[in-house]
Amino acid sequence: MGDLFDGYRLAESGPLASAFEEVLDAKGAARTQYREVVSVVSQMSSDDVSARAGRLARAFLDQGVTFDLDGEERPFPLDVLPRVFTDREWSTIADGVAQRVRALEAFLADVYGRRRILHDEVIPHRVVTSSPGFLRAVHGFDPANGVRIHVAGIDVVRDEDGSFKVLEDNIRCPSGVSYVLANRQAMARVLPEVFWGQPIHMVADYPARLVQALRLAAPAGVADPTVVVLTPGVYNSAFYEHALLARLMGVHLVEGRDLVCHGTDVFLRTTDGEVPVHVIYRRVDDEYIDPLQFRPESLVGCPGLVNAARAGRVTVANAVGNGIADDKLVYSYVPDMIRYYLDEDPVLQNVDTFRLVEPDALETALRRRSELVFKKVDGSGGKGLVIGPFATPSELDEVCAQVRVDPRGWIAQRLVPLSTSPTWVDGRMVPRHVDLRPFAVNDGERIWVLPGGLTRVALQEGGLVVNSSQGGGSKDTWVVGGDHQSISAPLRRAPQVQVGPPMDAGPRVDAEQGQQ
Amino acid sequence: MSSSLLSRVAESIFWVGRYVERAEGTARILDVVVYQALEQSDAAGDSASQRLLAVMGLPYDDSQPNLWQVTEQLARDADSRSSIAGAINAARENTRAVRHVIPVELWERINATWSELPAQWSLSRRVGPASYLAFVKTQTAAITGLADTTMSRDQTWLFFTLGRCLERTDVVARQLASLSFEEISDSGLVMLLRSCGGYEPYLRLSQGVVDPGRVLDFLLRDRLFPRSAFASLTVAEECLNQISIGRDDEWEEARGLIGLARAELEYSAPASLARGLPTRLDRLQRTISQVSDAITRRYFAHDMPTEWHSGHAS
Repeated sequence: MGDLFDGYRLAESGPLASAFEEVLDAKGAARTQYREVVSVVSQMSSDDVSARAGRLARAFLDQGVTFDLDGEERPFPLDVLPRVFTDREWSTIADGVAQRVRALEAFLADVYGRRRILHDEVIPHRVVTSSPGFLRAVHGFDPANGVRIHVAGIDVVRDEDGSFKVLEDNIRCPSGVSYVLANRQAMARVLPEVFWGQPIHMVADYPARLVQALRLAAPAGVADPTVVVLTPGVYNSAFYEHALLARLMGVHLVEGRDLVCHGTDVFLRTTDGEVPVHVIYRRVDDEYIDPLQFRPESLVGCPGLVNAARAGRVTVANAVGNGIADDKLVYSYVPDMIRYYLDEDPVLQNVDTFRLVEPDALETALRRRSELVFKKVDGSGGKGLVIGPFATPSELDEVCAQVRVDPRGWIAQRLVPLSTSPTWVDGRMVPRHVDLRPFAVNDGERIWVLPGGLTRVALQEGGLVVNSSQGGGSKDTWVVGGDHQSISAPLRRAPQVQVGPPMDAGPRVDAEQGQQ
Repeated sequence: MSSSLLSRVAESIFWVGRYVERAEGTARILDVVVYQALEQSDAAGDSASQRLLAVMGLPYDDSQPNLWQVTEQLARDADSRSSIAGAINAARENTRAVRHVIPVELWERINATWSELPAQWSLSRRVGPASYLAFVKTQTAAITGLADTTMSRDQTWLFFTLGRCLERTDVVARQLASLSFEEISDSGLVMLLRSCGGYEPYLRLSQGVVDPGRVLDFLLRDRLFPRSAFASLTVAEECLNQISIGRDDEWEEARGLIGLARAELEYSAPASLARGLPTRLDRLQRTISQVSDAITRRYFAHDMPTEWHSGHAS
């Protein structure tokens, strides 16, 4: 092993000391799937690695892969060392994610339909009806091809013994897939030598898979559907992603003001007049999507859209009302849903969660406050998150008081020391905690899990919050080995190559002759 | 100074157009094929290198050239007219001989590209060819942009553009000919579209559906995409119409060949394009060579410098 990894030290004490190290095993040797990558990178000089890191940042600035920090555009930090999964590890994740999506689809169809799971008391009635994500307005909706979760982002972490646990489900408008695409492209261009000879599953066909799934979700009887991406606009923090997906799917990127409803039909305002729209991949939250149904002051939605969807004239993807399943208290019931609807055992377990609406759990959690993590049930982006071991006594007292007032609004979880991966920070390889967001696309026939997903890195030493607004970065994420061609694009055998005729050449210009 | 051009000058300009377009086309192809192979897997690398050589009309043996060697050959081999560096060299040599008739900015851009190229290549040896290819794409775009915005639409510009359009048709035809459309995969089609710079325009046209028949139709027949064979031939035909000073046999021959090739594409049913595709593409490539020949005979004809021998018969 080269110098770059020599000073690599894991935390030796504290609540995170037991974290699983992804790249190096207990003896300090690279795990099998990392051998090639580590040997290439450790042959590089530290100046070279820093220079490459600079080029990665430059590439993102040029492409506009940035986020806004105090009014300044910063490139989303991409680490030089990729995260690598073996085919076998990945198939566990992919199976687990697909299973979860199947169960959540069944749950949504049920909870906005006959509510069997509530009648059978697998989930208490009040858990559903008290959730801010539960929208009565979409009761009885019947989506065109039965799909409500066209795209899912299921956050997965690795616990102390290296096994995968689901941290949360994102089935409303999961974001981040653009970084998966941008990371791979930038890495191949800046660090081509680490790719050489590695059987890496490709990620570039994600937009093609997504647009295919969206077309299949079109209302019945529409042969050549018009698909659009609905964005809140250029000031949204994920606008880059909306634009990238629209570009790579070849569809219009629209704002609410570009859409108009006549009766139950939705149209696009174009230079050719009003054109009917059939599928709307929306990146606008439920509460803003239709001022007639939800927030009346919303300017980014389209009035009448929910009625049009109810009439089956347009498909909204992901479906309105999915927020019920993103509720973190409902999350705690997903393993029960898997058993109830699918009659299967969960492939991926949840992180141990305390349901604070249950009095015993509440008391236990409050007693163990200094070792648990408290989360709001509808929080995202690390907002309102209190990590017991790192919180001050007054912060803990404050959160406990809030929990007592509104136990339905909170959950408590065991603190999972997220696994670590060597990350290039200030000219050194240092351990940083990582998570993973795999993306799944459901086209109604099958659930396809993008082989790779987004690995986010908490760049602060000892930090566990990976969000870019809080100093998070990312790593290109590979799945290597196996019969990957059957998983990714149907790349058939190399076609017979026909050698063309030699190229035409002009007469030689002897430029030296007769000059001066 | 009249509007007519010296034959020698016209010929150089014509080849500057072809070589600049060739450098750009090759950079696009390499950028797509190399990185797609890299992002996918090693196995794809071998067929990628075979295909690269085939597109450029370079023979390969069974020793399975490695992708890096092929990249180096196509990017850096200064003696080959099929490589980027070779094409830039040739473009620069030709420009140098005629720099008095082209805008000084254009000459400087071409010259600067040529002189910067070795440094860009040594940078690429350390960090991979992406930076080299990006440099070539930016520079060729600047060159053609300067030609379009600073040159009068006189014969100089017409010959430059004629050369560009013929080369562009040739590049598309070569790329299509190197693939087998019956067994092409979706990712193969995407790679093809991207290396012709037409992926995103195509997607917007087809709403994201990648279908071999539509891709073929787009690259051969699209009226609006400037790199389609049809669009390039149309511009070439217009240039030739405007160049004509006295319509004689060679002019008729050149224009007739272009017009026939264009009309054949224009009036073919899209569904029939795939039938007999290899023959069709072969014919298209031959047409380009024949047109180039006829233009050379008509406009560029000049004797080789007469060599006077000193000494006398005894």
